Amino acid sequence: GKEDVPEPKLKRSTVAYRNINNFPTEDEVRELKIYVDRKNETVILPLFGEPVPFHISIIKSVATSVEGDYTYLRINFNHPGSAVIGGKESGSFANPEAQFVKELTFRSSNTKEPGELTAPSSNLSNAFRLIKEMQKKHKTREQEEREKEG
Amino acid sequence: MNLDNMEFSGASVETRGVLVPGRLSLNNQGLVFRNSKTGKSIIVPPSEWEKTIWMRIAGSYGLKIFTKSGPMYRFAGFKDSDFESLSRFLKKNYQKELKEEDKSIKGWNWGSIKFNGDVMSFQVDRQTAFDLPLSYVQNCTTGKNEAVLEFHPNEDASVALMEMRFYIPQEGAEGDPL
Repeated sequence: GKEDVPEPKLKRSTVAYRNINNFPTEDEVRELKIYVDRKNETVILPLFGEPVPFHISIIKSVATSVEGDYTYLRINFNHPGSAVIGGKESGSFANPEAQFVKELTFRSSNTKEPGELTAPSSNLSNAFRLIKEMQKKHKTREQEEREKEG
Repeated sequence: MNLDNMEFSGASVETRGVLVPGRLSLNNQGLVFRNSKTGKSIIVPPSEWEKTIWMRIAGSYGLKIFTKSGPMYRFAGFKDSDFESLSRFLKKNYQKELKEEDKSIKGWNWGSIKFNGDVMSFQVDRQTAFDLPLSYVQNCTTGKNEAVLEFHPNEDASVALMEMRFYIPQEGAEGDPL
């Protein structure tokens, strides 16, 4: 019987925004930079003019490197075949036909333009730090929720 | 307002991840965007318009036009309140419908890749998460369950997207025009 099938656990926390009116309009979003929305646990990434949200629960890892005049930020997302953190994943891998954004790499200049207070790459280094923090927080909370459920 | 000519002076056009400022007019030629730095114009006649979409762009509103010949144009710098007058104008003068886009804001990285002219669109739950002009792709390689897109970096972009990797399941690999 269908009654025995447990409800798919689609937690409130796995959706970035429910309403477009809650979508941030911060300077970083307008200037097509990376914006880390701590309130909604979401990273907004500029993909050719479009600020695109990615929820923290799908971010697997984040790495940064400095090469010459540029700073790079690489974001890896959970996908089938990737080492899943924290045991069983929710509904995301249920659809075998789904295609996944697996990795995104951004680049920014380390050179301060005249009149600028910071180099453009400070956006990437800040994003790196904030994503790490948010990821840690999110994992701790998930852990606590799992323990509560028993 | 003169309904046979509409002007937006604070507009911009998205060019490889950068919003280039200019003046956007709608007149008997169609959509004319004049780059305020170079003075060069982009003209998109209504006969070329395949789909006109009202979208969110860079924290504000914009107009996206898919053309019959393939390329897509995105213009930014509109206000929420421009929607009504713009859609009325397009309907009256060009008999074109301005559709509001229901953008996916779920924040998910799984969905399906669709192609529309020269544009690759990533759909999440039947809603567009983002559109990617294929002309921006410098190099594309595919491996087992993977497609890698590399982009020409735009030196004018404060934050430039360099690379995008997709996980493609075996079943989805057939008929992939990449």
